[in-house]
Amino acid sequence: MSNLALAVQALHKSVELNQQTIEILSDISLSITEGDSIAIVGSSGSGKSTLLGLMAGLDNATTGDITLMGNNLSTMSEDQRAKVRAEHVGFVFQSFQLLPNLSATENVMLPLEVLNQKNAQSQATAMLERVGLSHRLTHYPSQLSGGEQQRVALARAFVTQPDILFADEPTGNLDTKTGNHIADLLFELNKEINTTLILVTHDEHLAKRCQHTIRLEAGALVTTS
Amino acid sequence: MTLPTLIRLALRLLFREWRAGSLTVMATALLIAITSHTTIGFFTERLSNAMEAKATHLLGADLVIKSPSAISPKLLENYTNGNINENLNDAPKASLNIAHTVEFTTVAIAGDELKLTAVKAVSSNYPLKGFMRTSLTLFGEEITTTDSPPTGELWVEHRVLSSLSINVGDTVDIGDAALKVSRVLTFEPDRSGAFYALAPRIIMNIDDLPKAGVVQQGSRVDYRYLIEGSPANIKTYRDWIKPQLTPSQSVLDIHNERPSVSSSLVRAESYMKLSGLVAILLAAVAIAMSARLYAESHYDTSALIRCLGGRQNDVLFIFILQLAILAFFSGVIGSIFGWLSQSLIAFLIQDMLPESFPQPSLTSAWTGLALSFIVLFGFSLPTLIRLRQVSPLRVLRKNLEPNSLSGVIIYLATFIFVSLLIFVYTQDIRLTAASLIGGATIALFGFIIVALLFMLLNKFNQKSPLIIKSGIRNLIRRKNETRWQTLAFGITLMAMTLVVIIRSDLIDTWQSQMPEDIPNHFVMNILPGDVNAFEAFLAEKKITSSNLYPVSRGRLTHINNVAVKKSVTKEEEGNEALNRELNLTEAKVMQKDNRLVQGEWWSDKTKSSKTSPTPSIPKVSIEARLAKKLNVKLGDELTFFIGSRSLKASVSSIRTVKWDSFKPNFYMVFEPGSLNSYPTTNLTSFYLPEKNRDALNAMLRQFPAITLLEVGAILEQIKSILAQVTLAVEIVLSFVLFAGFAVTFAALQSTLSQRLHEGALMRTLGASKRQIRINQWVEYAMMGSLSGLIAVSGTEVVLWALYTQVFHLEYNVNLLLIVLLPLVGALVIGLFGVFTSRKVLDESPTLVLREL
Repeated sequence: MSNLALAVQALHKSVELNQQTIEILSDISLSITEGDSIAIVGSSGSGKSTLLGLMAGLDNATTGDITLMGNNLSTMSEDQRAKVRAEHVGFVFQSFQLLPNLSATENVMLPLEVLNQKNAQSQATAMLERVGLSHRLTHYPSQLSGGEQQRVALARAFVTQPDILFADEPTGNLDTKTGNHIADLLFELNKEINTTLILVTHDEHLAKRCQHTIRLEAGALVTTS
Repeated sequence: MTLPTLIRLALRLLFREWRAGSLTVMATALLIAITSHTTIGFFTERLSNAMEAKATHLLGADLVIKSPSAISPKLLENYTNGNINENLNDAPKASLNIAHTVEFTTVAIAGDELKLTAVKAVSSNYPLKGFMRTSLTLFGEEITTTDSPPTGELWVEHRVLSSLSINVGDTVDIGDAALKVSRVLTFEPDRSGAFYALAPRIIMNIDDLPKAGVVQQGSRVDYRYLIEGSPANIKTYRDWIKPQLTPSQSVLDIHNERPSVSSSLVRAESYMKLSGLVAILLAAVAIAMSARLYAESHYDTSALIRCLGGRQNDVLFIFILQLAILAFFSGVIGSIFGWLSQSLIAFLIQDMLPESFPQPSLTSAWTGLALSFIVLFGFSLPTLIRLRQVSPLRVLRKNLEPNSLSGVIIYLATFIFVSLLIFVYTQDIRLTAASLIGGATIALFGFIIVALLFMLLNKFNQKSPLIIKSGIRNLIRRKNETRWQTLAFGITLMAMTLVVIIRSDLIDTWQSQMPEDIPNHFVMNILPGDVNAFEAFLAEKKITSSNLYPVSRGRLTHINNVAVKKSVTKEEEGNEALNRELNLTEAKVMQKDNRLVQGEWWSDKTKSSKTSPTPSIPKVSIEARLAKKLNVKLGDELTFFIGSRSLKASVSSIRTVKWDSFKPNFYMVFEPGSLNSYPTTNLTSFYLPEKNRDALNAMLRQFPAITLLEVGAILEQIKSILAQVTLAVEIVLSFVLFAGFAVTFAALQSTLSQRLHEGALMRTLGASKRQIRINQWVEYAMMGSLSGLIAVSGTEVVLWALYTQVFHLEYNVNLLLIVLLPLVGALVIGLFGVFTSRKVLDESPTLVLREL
């Protein structure tokens, strides 16, 4: 039997707004096996990104449990969760989230440095070569096109060989053609490194490339496939 | 993350930030603060050393002990080089140089001619500080010398030559000693203030004194011990000797001997300290503002580092390390700049500086470095600490702002840092407290005024012309930020105005104290019969003089029929005014620079002889400080002895006198006619340019009885000190202005991205460049003029407090400011604002929007 990469149990998330409690996620339970690829789909405001943030340990749930690679995130402090993220998680964002003041290589080195890994530079260079940016190693984000920036982000996400990769609308800021290239690269790397992929997207086409799809509506899980 | 990784990351980010220019405002402000601090520190250290040296030249020593009799040798001998008396264990063993002078009046005789002279017998190491000026012939070329007359020789003032009808080279008898006149004395450093009383000066060697035999037991003699040594030794000695002196003995140093110089120095020092502080506080405001901007622009970075697994403290460490590096380099570079700029200033004004202008110590560099850390951390940490609080979730939700620290904590921290800074800078707890209370009050009232102004603006904008309506609406819409900006600009403008005004007033005060045609000669003993001829002589030579004052020499003996010596306190027994004859004068009108503090000046109507059939006693006006010391009040009856007769007068007014005006000044002024039956001579002062010195010879030939005193050399010294102080004050001023501009820049940058965004959107939606330009001008200029209003109210209050409490000057409301400041505010903020937002108009809207 395969190991569980992520298990979510009776997850609730609500926020106080103008003295009213607004339920963003209600009673979500799901489990994801290592090596799986899951798309989380749903309309705007359905709670996709909130769920992603909670599963990645970026935020606290109101109630419920999240276990990521055997670590119960719900009982951990923020710094403990940070450690879990560094060791197990990679991220790709819609808006790339590269540090504007670091070169492409330096951006990719960042998670390796957080993990105190040696040869950070050579690993980063190798990863950038893998995503086809060997000619852009010393460029800064502002000198790169959108597609190139997302490739750097992919290199940064995969360079630590994370157990789980969270991707939030990875092609949302790109044109269809570039988006398709990025998606291809994402799935290729996912396969190579055998990462568990959790992808939030609007794009049904992209969602179909994942093994499973979870649909959220108004904070509730409506279908899984 | 490990320490090396964090350091590497911090350095890499810092380096890139620096290249991208995002640290420019913060670093520039810090650099201005440190350069200002170190320039002021280095320069004032040099200047005050040089000025003190110059002032000690006027005193002839670092410290002088004055005594009516020879003081016990045990109070002195312990201090002469190497002569340590084992029996005096309680005396500090310090090495000091001591010169002796003995002053007395005696008759000098040459052939059949006699003249009462003021003789100063000096030891051969006199003067210890400063120099004398002498010439080899009457009114010949002056030579500066630090020598003193050798035994057997005399240096005499020209008056001695003319009144004894002799020349250089002739012999004069002082008591039993026949001494040769070898030089004409034109300047001696330690000639003390009361110069009207003095007979012409003769300087002789102290070793000739026993031979002359003129100083006997009971003679009226003034012994002075001139002492020179390191500041520490001087201080130890002063502290040790002061309690051992009798009431008739006194210690003089530059602070009590030359009030006009020392009060200028004290004022200049307070000014420089205060302005230096203003420059640093302004820079601190700029730092705080740019730090906030810097922190806000790094929320994403922090969120990402946290998202990738960095701990909260890793993030904080990265930014603290960056600050430390920035503080270190700004401290070092600022100190170097400070050193260079003070050297440049010293080079530019080398003609004005004394020959020896000692190099400063490194103290200011160390304090500059410390200050760099204090200012940067004190003013940026409260906002940078928020970076630690950034939630990693921000990578997904951009609008997620970190929880802000409690306002109370931030304000408390800032308050503590500001207090610390002011205290470190002024070393004066009273001034610190006053600045803090003043600052807090101004900020509070400023904020209330801003809030009110915004309310009014909102109300009246309904009726504004269309063209400016939208600009003002922008201002009001952003009121959360713009209110703070307006307050910041207002306080900045206020600080800049204050510094400029106080500088001008200080310099005006000094200049009015020392006008070009300030009298450089005093003439005394003009006989009543010579008055008309003397005035005609002055008119003929085109010499303008002050009024002629009739003068009788008299001693104050009784106050309300009680002998003065009994009616005053022990410590006032040594008061100069009681122990010597005073110049008593009468005048119809009060001297212009005198000011009545109590009573009334006499007018023709109140003249006593006319109003009452039985003539009452005459009225007298007394100088305020003397009145206070003697506890004399209005209506008190004073008795004077003039020659062998007494004169009673009742005190009708008390007035202040500007002793440093270099004009004839009097403790006692009687109403006209009071001195009619007493012997009087006349006194006046006049200005004579150096090139017309020949007129003096003619004057002395025509009026041989007069006494002529030249004070030009002393005046020149004081003038050059004031010129240096003025320059130093102007340099400090320029730093305040730079710091003010830094604040303006930092404040405008804080809302720049929002404005750029809106501007670009408006252009996208079809607004013309002209429309946007008008909007920008209206918004910035309105903000500027509101700041101007705040600055006006603050300035008036602070000026009043400073003038009356700190500088002890008079204060008048400045009406021009009320008009000028709002205009200047509108113009400066308008120009700066439109300049910083020019990108909206210069670049395509898409480019602007993409970059934001």
